[in-house]
Amino acid sequence: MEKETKQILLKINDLAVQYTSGDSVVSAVNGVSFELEKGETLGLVGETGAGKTTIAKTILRILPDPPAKIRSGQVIYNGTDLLEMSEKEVRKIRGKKISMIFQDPMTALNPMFPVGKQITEAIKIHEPLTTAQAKERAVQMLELVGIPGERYGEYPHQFSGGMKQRVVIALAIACNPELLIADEPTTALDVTIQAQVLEMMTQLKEKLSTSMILITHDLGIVAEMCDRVAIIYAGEIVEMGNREHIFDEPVHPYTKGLFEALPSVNMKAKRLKPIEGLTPDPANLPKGCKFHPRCPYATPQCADRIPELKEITKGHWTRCSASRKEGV
Amino acid sequence: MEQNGTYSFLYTEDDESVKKESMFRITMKRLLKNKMAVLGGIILIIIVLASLLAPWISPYDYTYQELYNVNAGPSAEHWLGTDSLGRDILSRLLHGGRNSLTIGIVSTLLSALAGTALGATAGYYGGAYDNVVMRILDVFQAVPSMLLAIAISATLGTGYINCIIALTISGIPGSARMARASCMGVRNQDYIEAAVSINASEPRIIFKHVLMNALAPIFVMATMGVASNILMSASLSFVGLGVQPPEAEWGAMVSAGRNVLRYYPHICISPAIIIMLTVLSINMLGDGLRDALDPRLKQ
Amino acid sequence: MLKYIGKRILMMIPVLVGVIVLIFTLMYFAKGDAASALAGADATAEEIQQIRARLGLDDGYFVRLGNYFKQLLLEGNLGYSYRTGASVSSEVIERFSVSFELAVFSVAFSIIFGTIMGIVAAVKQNTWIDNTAMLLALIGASMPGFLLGLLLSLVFALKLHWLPSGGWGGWEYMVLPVLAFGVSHAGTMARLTRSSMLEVVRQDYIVTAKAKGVSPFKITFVHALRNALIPITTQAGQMLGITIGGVVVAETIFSVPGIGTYIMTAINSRDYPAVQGGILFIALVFGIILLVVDILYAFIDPRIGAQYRKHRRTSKREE
Repeated sequence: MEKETKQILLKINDLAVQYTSGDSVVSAVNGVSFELEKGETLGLVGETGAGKTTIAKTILRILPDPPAKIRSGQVIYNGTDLLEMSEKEVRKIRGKKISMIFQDPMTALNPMFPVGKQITEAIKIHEPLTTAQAKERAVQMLELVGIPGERYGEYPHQFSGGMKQRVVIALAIACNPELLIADEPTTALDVTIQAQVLEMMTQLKEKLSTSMILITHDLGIVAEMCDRVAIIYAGEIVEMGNREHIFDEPVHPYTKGLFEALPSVNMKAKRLKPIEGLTPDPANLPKGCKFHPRCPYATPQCADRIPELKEITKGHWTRCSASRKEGV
Repeated sequence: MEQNGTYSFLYTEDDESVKKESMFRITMKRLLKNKMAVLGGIILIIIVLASLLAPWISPYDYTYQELYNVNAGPSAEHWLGTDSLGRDILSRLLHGGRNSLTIGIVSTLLSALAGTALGATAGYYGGAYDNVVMRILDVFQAVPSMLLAIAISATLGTGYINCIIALTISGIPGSARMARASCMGVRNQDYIEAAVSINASEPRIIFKHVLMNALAPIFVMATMGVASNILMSASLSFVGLGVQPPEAEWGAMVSAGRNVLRYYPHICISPAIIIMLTVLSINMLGDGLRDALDPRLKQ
Repeated sequence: MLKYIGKRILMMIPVLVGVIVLIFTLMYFAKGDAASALAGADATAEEIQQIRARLGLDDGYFVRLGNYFKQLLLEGNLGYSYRTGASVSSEVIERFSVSFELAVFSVAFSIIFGTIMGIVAAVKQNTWIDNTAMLLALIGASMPGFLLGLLLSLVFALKLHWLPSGGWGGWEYMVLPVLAFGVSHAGTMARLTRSSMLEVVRQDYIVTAKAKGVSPFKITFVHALRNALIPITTQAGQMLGITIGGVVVAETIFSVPGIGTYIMTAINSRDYPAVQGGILFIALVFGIILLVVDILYAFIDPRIGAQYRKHRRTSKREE
């Protein structure tokens, strides 16, 4: 396409994941495919329960099984399918090549061990260093994320939420990963701290030139950090494109709805327009287009046919362009 | 986490059914799905029915001594044999069940009631009242419950009623503490504050919200309590402080058979197996109840 | 920390006073007369009266209670046994060491077997290993010690003659009682360990550890077990308490000369100073065990440890 030199770091093909609980089967991810180039930041945007975290956990193969089961798909990382690898091989990739920042810093750290030790542990697993060297590196990592090295021996309960998230980030970047998956890294934080953490992540990303998958439901964060965006609804990508595609010319009715539900500083007087209805129950997804029961443009055909993801302009994919046809 | 979000849809479904069905029916439904709990329940029902029907289904009078036929092994006339005084063991087991089960159930109920009342009020009102109640309970809890029951039995003397009293008193501190902890936990929940904010009267709050919500753990504990009280009463009888012969009681039967264990083990073994089976079935049912009442524990 | 321990020990004093009053009251109102029990079946009324006077049994409730406290505080003495005339304190301590040995071994057995079984079951959750282990644990937990004791002594002592059926001496006397009273606790422990481990394994920090590339073995034994240790420790402390309280039964079956048989003999012969001394001593040990468990928490869980140190730290910061 545009650049012949682009390198695909991660390619996900037709991924489907289900959760089984008792008699009910929940389809959390339904045929998701996307690519990630080296050095790129991809935003996965969607409401709670849309399947974003499941995608992230599938990449690292840390889904709880049971209840989760990968039904189909490939996760091709640097040319090899992670889903085909043995558990032992995947362990060498986890935390070293691909690492993850978790949503809730309050629970992501083991309360029983000093934070520094938790970082040292990750380093020692993946790097041929002595304990002293690993410890030194862990201290460096803490300082990199703005935590004084003396706090190495302190326990998670001695840190505030924002500081804990810094520790989690230090842990994630400790082994210089090629791919960083950030799962709502700032959702659990205060707004003022959110900005700090995001700023820091942007800097680190540039410094270490890692690729990143950023999971969020906050379009503001996406606008600030992502090169490309995939909008996820009920376990499917409904629209995907670069930042300009999604923000300047959203096509899918759901994406448009998301922007209309967003308050904006410029248009004070206008009322927000919420998307009608509720996110569908993943145990009982609607037939056809999964968004049609809430869609203002829905036609009777929408209930019968699952629309495919089509490229409408170069690099801009959508499942539906009904909104455009009406000339809105 | 988002994954929890996925699960939350499952719970939403559950929440909706809560509105439609009563909590009781949901619990029953979950309980009936649990094979172990059902098995435990069936065994328990059989034991309880057999004990209830003892006067009608016992082949012999449980006090009748066939003195020419002592320590006899199992036979067509005496399915489980006879004891050292020639009494039919099966008949004594059936009658003994009435005593053992009643002691276990009544003492647990009484201590659960008294304990919950004490603990719930202490937990809700706090302050000096809570302090006094808890310090007194501290004293009772400082003595291991088995030893306390032995001391109380030694004071009151042996016998059926005294055994119930001893077990009731030694059970109160545990259930009071449990009720208190549950109440304090519930008390700080937002929905209690919500109830206060809409001007619900205080006794109403304590009863309706605090108790109803603390009820599940107390109920589970009481179920398990029946099992442990049956064991305790058997132990009391075993050391000679509980129900005395000629009254039949399982623990006392084991104790009586102990002296001739070497030569006539059957006298000991059948009451021993019944005690174990009863306790086992109650525990199975209790496990199931706990899981059914707490959806979080379901794997 | 030391301050906390000191405070806890001070708090034990009123509880123990309460225990003295409680047991004294129970014994005071107990049915049966100590003097007639002591004098024997064919003693005359006069002889019994003499004994009553000698033991001070004719005094009122408060006088006798006061005398007991006076003796305890001034002489540090639990009194003298009616039956043997020996000092209750020294008898109780001698007998208790036997019981304590028995209880410690039995609890150690249940902790070792119970936790291992629970961990294995949790790791192999929902497999046949898990199901078998949990069925065994449930049966074990439902098995009253005295039943298992009788069955074991029937098989291994009376029938096979491998082990003595009672008494006290070397290790061979300990095997059966330890098994009889350890098995049921091992079952309880296995069930508790499994459920705590499963609870912990669901936590986010375990996912974090997994995402770091930590091996399943280390996740189970370092990351998860450390967190599951709190309920396990609580249970172990309670088990030790229950076992010490339940020694009465254990020792009766295996005729072990411990504090349980001491108290039982004393109860049967209305030897109240002995009963009271024995129970008081057990309550004291019980309290110490609970205290030790609380102190252990601080070492296991840094959050609890921090609470104990809080006072010191805040004062340091102010400097």
